[in-house]
Amino acid sequence: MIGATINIKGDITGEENLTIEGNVEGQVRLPKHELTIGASGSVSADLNAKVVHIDGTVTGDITGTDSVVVSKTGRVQGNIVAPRVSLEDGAQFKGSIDMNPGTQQVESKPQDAQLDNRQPAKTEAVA
Amino acid sequence: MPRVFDGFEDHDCIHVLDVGDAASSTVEFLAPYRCKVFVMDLADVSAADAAAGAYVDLFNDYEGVLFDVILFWDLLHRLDGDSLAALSDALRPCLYSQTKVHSICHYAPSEAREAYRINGRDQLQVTNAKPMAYRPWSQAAFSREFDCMRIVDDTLTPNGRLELLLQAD
Repeated sequence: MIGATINIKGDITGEENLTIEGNVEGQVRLPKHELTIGASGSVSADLNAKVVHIDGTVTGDITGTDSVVVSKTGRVQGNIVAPRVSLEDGAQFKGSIDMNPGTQQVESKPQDAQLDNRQPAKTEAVA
Repeated sequence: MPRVFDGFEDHDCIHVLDVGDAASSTVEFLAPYRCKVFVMDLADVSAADAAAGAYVDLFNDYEGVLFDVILFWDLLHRLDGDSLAALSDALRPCLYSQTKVHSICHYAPSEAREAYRINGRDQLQVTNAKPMAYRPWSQAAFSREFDCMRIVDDTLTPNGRLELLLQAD
């Protein structure tokens, strides 16, 4: 655990679970383990872990190869990428949530001709 | 609400813009679509900021992204004409011909703004949000100011809520 009075500027990597209650600026990578940002934790960093729990404040992008959970006390500004994302009621979030990791950012949509097999929208104007 | 997501079941990844606060049930509802959800609270943009290009600045952060679904909830009927037109202009680069928009118009207007979350394809949960002036638009005026979209369907719910389905022009 990184305690509430600890301030770290730099990158953190490891092969064990980690809880951050202090302040961290940098990157945190625990690709096979769980990362918890405690209620008193404040992190300005990109986070990468198997499971990420956010009870505190995070500014940065978060990648969870398994899941990301933002609790009701969590505050996140950034982009979340994980196959499973849970936001508890009360969580504050600003950014994007990508629940389809593994695909590249779609820069453009298929041409309309390729969409012809879809059900067209009903065109019923309202007076 | 149900028809907003029609046709997207087979997509590898849909891009959804959820205007307002992030809601847990909405995220859970959207998860099976293997989507990317963009959460943006446009209610904080004042009319003066809108005129100064605030919407353009916000959407510049998503350059290159084309939204498949936009959930505006009742915001469009809480903006003045200039803000609505500014939003339409700013949004246009993020639209394509299949973009669908969900919007709500109330028949019992109130400044007591509501926040919405999806509990199911035909089930919205309503909670309180910070007050905001209500400006119900006639459909003709709405279409004139918000000209990046056209209304293609609507549903009047028993609680006096008119849910509109719009599609990009």
